[in-house]
Amino acid sequence: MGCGASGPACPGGGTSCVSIGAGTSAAEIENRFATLTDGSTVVFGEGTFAMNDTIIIAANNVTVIGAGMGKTIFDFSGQKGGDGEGFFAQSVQNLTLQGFTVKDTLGNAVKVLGSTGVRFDHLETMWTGADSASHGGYGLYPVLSKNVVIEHCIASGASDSGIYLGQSEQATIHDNEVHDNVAGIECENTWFTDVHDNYAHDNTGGILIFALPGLQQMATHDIRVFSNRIENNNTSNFAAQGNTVGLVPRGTGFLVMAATNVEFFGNTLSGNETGNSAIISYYATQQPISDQTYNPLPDYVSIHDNTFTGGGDTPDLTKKFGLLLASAQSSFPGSVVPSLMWDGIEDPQTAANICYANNGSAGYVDLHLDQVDPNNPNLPAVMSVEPPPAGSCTPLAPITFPGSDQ
Amino acid sequence: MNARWAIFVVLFVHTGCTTKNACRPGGDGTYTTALYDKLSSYCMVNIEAGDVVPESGVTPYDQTTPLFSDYATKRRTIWMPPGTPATYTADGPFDFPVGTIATKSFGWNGKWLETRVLVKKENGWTGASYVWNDDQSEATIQPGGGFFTTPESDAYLVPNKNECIKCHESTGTIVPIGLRADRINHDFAYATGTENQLAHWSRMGILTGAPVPESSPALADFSDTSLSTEARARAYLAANCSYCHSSTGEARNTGLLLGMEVTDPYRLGTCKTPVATGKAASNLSYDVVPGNPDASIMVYRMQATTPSIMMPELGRSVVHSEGVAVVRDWIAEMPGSCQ
Repeated sequence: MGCGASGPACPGGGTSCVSIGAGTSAAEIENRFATLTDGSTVVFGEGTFAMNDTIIIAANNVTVIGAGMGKTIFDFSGQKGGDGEGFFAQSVQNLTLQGFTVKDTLGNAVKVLGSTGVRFDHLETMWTGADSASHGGYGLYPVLSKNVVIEHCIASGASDSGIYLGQSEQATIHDNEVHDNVAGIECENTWFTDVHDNYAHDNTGGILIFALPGLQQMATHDIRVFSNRIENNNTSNFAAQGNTVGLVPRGTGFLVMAATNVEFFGNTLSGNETGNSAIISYYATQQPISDQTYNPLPDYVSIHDNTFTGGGDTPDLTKKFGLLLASAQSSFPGSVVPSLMWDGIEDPQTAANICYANNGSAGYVDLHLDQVDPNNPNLPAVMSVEPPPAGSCTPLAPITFPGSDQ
Repeated sequence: MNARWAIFVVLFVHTGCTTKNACRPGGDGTYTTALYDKLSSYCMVNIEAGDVVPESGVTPYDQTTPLFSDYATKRRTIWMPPGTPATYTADGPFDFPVGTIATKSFGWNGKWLETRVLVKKENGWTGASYVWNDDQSEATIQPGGGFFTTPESDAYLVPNKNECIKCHESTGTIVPIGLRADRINHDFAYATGTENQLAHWSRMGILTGAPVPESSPALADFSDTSLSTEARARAYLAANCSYCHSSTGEARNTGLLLGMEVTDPYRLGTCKTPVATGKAASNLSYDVVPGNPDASIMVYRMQATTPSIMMPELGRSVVHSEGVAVVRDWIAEMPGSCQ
């Protein structure tokens, strides 16, 4: 119904369909989205659509379908004004974006705020500018949202995170490829999320699970990260300083900061040159904490049944944390940073409750950062590389929610 | 002849229109179902001798500290169906009746580009922008918006219908921004003489429940140099930023809150690390660094004109030097440091 002869055919489903063929002007596309009604399906044909402003979706139950990644391309390099985003939706229900590429936005590529039922499927976000510091911050960026699925997507080139799930809950991020971003996948102040079967390579850091102070939704908890490949995340950090990810050393595989109830299992990590995995408190950033409601300490983190190969041999000397590790490198067994790192800062009353099991021959270090004098750091004097007692890690429950039909 | 005369009498009696403009505010009333295509159908404003003139029965108003929009001259009007006044509340937009029509027109040097219309329907507010024709006789709905050239800029954005929500949405609901006590609590020069707007609205029967103006909140005028720098800067930030930077606005994810009700310096940006700011942090560490405007991300983004870096995100394409100056001075005067 309502499909023009020149545009692609509409698939079944949806109460109305808008079909947009190659050659449709940016102004006409803006017009179509501005007048979109609830329940609409928007189908784009193959081709490149040069946009000069953000495409905003304000209706509920909308599906936008392209002819596939690399086939339907939204090119935002001529962005003239607006907020600099590619696609944006706010306070909508049940939004599906599927089968297209979003390229060279000034800001974030695809942002969805305050929405419930968000699905990104076979979406690609990328920046092609030679100056990577000029790239937009986030590729796929749901925030303050619920029931989110990000699957079969490719995100590259983001100057912050390729896939960034912020202040959200009930999400699955699976079967995506993230590369050449500062952070491959980052979950921040997020609850009840599964991150699995993703391939994170050639970022500055592969997968980051963070809790940060000062936000609307506080804490990060109940996150399962499993069956991912996290390889060679050795790209120099090109984030603007000041951002938390700007502190991440090149060569970081998996990093947990200040999160609670995190289970990391069945992953393959290799060749992350600063270190394959670390669990740290926010104190490790040496940033001031003004938010009294914030808990800077991680706890209940279990790391089990992972495979570690190589890595830890060339810490990033441009970042404080990398420098600190490099200063102790000759004291580590085999002169490589162990694959299992903990900063050793915990609440003495409650303990950190970190569990390690069945991680092959991966080395371990407790950095005891709480005992390091920041003005005269001498890591070898305080750290401990004795393996932690083998524990049996309690699994977390799988995440399920309406629409999580993986 | 008799039939025509009868129609005229009906219009005259019903609306009180003078013979000059025989239109009826609200038109045929169907705008609460679907917005009109033509601005004239609302019978809210027309352009005479280079200025926006409200139709009879339509109330002009202005803002103490307005949102900056590329140095546009703005004219605002409010109208409610007769006999259905808005209800006063001290904080937040008034509670307006179904059928309320608010307009805001944007022009430069006596040439008017667009008039934005906000309408209260049964299920809430909706709005769109209308772009004026060359001879300024009519404006036509422009749901897709677009970029226009003004004396200030070649990339002035008439917002598309969806862009309206970025500023006007408060957790899922579209709301007016400036139609609240603190923003209009000051004198306005009406054709009939100068009067406080709250008092005028009450006297005209379009607002009920309002206390005397002295007992209502009033936002400071950011350009009033007799006030403290802090009062001026806070008023500027409230008017220009807090529609998004509030606990219910579009920028609520950032944790930076800039409304007048906020008292915690950290929430106002002092030594607050940026969140989701990306390259717009420009290698700066904090939103506001006391004593150091040049190290403050807030100032950097107010001075920017590149989309994705500039703040506000929408609504301007040039720098508001006067606004930047007030915020710079406020930060420069601030005691303390971040480390």
